[in-house]
Amino acid sequence: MKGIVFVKFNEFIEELWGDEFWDELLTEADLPSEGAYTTVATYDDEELFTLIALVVDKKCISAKDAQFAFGKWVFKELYKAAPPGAHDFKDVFEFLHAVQNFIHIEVKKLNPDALLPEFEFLSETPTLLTFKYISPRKLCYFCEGIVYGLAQHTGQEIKVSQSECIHEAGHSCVFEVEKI
Amino acid sequence: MPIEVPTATIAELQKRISVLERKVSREKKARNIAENKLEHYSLEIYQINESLKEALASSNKKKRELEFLGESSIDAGSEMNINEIITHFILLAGEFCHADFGCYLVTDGGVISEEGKNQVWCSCGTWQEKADLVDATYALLPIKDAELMSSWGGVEYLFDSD
Repeated sequence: MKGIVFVKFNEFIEELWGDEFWDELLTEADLPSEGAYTTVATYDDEELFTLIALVVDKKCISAKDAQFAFGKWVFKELYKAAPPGAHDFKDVFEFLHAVQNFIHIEVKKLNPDALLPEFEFLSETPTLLTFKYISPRKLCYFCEGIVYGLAQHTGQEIKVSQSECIHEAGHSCVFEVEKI
Repeated sequence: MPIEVPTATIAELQKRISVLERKVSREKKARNIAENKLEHYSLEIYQINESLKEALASSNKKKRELEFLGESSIDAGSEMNINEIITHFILLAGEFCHADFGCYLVTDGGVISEEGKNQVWCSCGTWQEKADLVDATYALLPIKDAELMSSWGGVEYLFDSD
């Protein structure tokens, strides 16, 4: 996973619970990278999962809530790092299409080895967008948080639900994003 | 009188210092990793840029060669007479080589013909009479067929005589 995710996770944890808690997590996790994260490197996905699992354990929250909160927080940070054309979209649905059709293509140009999630759009009305989230990392709750972060950015009110989820015996993760 | 600091506070401060020391150490390590990566990427970009420059120069050279050959071969198939073909070829060759001057000689059995003698093409686009330049050039050029072939490198055995 790209270093930016780890660097932002570090910032997220420090913002919420301080640098001593982050230090505590790293000491307990005993990771191969030792937590020396930089945005220009790539790290093993397992390191993030280990850190999330420790947060879940220490703060008595669910993995779903932890991933969701991080996703919602990280949107604005990823948005700053997004390619210039990504800042032209003012609508949640438009932006979600752009993630698949523009942003990920641009990201791949700079990082050909980046493993990015895919959105398979299933249906769309003016108020409801349905798409399948496809990723071997299975971070659908993180993605849900990102969609809420996006709505916060565009100033739109939305409701996101999953009619099917791989973590709840589904074959895939199907998102329903409804404008309220 | 020395100030008494509560033991708990000292312990807390020591803990805080340890946390910050580890943080600094992680940030130093991350900075080194980033610097190494960026140096590596910079070198890679420099090398790619150099090879692109070389490829572009080679491609431009090939393009000019093809244009030169193309224009020369058009003349051969045209209705121009031999003199026009030769003078146009000198012009093309002069432009292709970025030469200041160009001249040609016609030989018949190793003897220089008077055809076009002393005429020199100038890069300004005109033909001028420059006997001294032509003489100096002829002195350096192979006149007979065998000499000519020899100057191209070891093919003189193809010719028995002039």
